[in-house]
Amino acid sequence: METYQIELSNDLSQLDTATKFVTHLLEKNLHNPEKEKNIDDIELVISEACTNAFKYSDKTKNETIKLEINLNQTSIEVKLQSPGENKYIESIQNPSIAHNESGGNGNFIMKALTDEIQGQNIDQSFILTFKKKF
Amino acid sequence: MQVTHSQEGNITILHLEGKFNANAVSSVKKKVNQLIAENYVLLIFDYSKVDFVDSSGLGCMLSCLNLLKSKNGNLKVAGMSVKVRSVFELIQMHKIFESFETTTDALQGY
Repeated sequence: METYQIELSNDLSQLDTATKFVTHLLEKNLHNPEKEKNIDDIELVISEACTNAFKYSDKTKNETIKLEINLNQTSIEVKLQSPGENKYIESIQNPSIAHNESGGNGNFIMKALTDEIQGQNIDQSFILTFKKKF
Repeated sequence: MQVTHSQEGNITILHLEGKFNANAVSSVKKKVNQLIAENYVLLIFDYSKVDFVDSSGLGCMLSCLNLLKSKNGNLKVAGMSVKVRSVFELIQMHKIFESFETTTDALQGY
């Protein structure tokens, strides 16, 4: 497993930076017949996870969002740390399609496209981790 | 994401280009609100140049649909790539929106 990390300022304008960081890694390092589908799926999950982090994390703490990627040819593990605790942690474990114009489907998408996903509130931070096999 | 529009009679085609994610929501809503203010309430979202969509983009589209319907209007979609369509269908938006291969087909759908 190779490990890659990026720290982002806590602002939604960093969303494209986050997704490009991950898709670039996958483009460069992944070599399997389903490569394009894998990249599309991970790009979407990263977008959903980072959007939630940028929108709902505690901006008063003036801390960064930390993204860590562990990658090999057969799987990816992602850890996303954002400041402040997440009050909606239960909806990550048990998402549903909300058909809600203000939200609700992001967690469903993340769960549908990963093999494992969980969120934990630890030491005033929220840590989202997910794994996907290729 | 770039948002432009063209007019076919009383039907407006909104041409979207780029990534339809959280960063694109405000510009799309602003354009739709402008069109509604000008009494243009029959819309087509042209997805032919959209290379990515997530729940924020689709939620925005749903919000636009609900607003347009409240004004006796409607919103149809056209030109989705396989990649974009897969997300659309994953959260079952295909049960809510009429979708067409091309904007020409969507215009005929009105």
